[in-house]
Amino acid sequence: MKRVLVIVLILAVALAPAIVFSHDALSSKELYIGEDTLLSKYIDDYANLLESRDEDISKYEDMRINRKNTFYMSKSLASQENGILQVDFNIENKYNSIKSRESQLEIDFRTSFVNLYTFKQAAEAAKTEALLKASEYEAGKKNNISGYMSDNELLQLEYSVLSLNNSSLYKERQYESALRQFNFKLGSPLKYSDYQFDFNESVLEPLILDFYIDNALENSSTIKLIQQKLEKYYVEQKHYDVYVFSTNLSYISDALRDLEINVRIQELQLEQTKMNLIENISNKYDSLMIEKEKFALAEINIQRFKLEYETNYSLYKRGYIDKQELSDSENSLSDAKNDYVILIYKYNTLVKSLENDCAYYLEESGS
Amino acid sequence: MKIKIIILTLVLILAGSVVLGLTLVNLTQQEAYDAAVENNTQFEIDALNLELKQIAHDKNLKTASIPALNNYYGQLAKYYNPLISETNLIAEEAKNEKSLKQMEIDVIAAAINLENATLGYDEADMSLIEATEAYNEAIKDSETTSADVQLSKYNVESMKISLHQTKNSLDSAQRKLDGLVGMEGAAVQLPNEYSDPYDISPEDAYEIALLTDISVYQSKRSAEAEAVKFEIAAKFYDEDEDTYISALAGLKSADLSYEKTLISLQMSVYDDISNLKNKFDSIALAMLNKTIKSNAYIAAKAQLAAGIISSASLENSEDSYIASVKQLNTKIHDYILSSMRFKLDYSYDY
Repeated sequence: MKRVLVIVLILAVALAPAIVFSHDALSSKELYIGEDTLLSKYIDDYANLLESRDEDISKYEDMRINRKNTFYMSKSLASQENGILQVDFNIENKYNSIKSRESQLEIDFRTSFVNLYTFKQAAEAAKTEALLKASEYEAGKKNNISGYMSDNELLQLEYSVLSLNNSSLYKERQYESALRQFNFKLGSPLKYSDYQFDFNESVLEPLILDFYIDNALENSSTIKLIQQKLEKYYVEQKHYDVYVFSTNLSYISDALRDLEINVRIQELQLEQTKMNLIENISNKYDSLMIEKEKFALAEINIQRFKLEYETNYSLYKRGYIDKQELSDSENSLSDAKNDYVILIYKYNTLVKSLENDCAYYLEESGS
Repeated sequence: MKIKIIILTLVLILAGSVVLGLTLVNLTQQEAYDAAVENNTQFEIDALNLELKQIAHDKNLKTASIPALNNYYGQLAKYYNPLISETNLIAEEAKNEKSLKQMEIDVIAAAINLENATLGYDEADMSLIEATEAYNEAIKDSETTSADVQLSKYNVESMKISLHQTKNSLDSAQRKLDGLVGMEGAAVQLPNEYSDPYDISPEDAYEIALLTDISVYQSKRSAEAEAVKFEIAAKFYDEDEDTYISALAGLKSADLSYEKTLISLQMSVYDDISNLKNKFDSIALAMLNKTIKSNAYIAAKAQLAAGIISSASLENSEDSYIASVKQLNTKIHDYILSSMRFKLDYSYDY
């Protein structure tokens, strides 16, 4: 099973450079993840570790056991067993790094992609606002000359124009920076229009909190690292327990005492890490539930703008308002619908982020 | 209208006798600190790590006590290694001592966070009541458009979410404090007394910090150890040999690092004193603001009685006064925490 995975991973790495430039063939997300150098390194390292596994294990199996006395023999046997264990720990940890990185990249992609879109929208809105104010200012100048507007009022208008221009420029730069960063991750200089923005998704239903906590306690890399350390200490203890040693010899009593202290430190750290993990995941889960409640708000907003549009449509038909006002109302409704779609997309990203924190990707990949 | 003020006062003075039906365990600062020290796993881990450092140092001392080989590594084992392990041991001891004192700040910070979360929850609760009243009125009022009714409904739903959020923050703040002191429903008396940072002498504070700062001690000892190492290297190797060059580089790097630590310490002492003064000054401003808002509120009550203003205006005035009390409270607590951190970081009392 692992060998098949290695072949697939090696193929993926080998083909990566070839597919970078065929943007049409791959989605932005695949490019974003495929171009990551750290992920490539993890994949290479993992493939190497798997390939050298038998050789690495045989080094420990062939290890010379020091038989100077029973203590040294126990120590040697523990080193041998721990060495073999470490070979598989390294493979497991590297595999976890790959899955964690992939998951993190997907979250980063989703966040950056939606940011790119919203920054562009904000930049365009700010530009329109600045242009409208500029035309208001032009009209104001004429009014000032005709004596319908005071100098102070005109000055205030001029200030608003300058302020909105600054804001528009700031938002334009924010968008340009987001585009540069996004292109940097993709490794290809694309234009905004080259990207296909589609945030339509169905709502991801999170599982119950206990499930995530259990998963995190079992698969979190921080917990795993401590457990691996502990497992190796327990192996040492197991080998030392076979014989009764003379504790009069300081090198023996020192080694046994150091081992005992290290076991206790790791046990306490495991306990502490578990508590922190449970607290963090519970907090994140609570935040997720609150985000979900915001759907109802967005729905009310749509309803509100829909009613407003219907009223305005009726007023427009009867000639009470002009087409521009109706069009503004239509845009507000369209924005509210768009906000709803983006809200779901962002919520789904949070669900994925929670899954990432709980190392749920391992569960999904069947590891 | 006075209900808001009464609620706020109760929260501030009692720091939560009853929150959401939960029976609270009221603790003094000392009781909370003692409980936190007793309950904290990290202290046990720190004590065990200190034991390991002591063992390593004892081993090095033992090795150093026997006649050393007259070569580079033999001399290092005799003179250099004990210096390093002794530095590590003393730094670990100082770090543990600081962690113990830091716990006092952690407990107060958690209690302040809980108080702010309680106030936030109460505020959200009141906003929901107000939004619900506005919504009910909008439904009854035949002149309100459907879109405006929807807007009122939106405000109610939005306030419900705020209430949920603040409830989560409150629960989380309570869990954090409970976790620290190891008991459920803990409440800690908050400090309200504070000293004047204009009494601090920056020169004196820096002088004292120089004698007590762990990083200064570590980098000074490291420079001394590197000097010993270089002396040994110079005895056994020529100037063009790698070991000599490496030891010389190590010495220069340690000297520079020590200089940098001194400058960095001086900068942080002076910066922190400035920050303390800024925070202290902002308390005076917040006090003035509270007085102004209090006067305005008293005047508004008289104006309402005289029929000059509406009850809505009085309510606005009352809200401003409540906000000013909260702001003052936040500023005082923020300053007290910064002051405690300053005293701990530089072992300087004022």
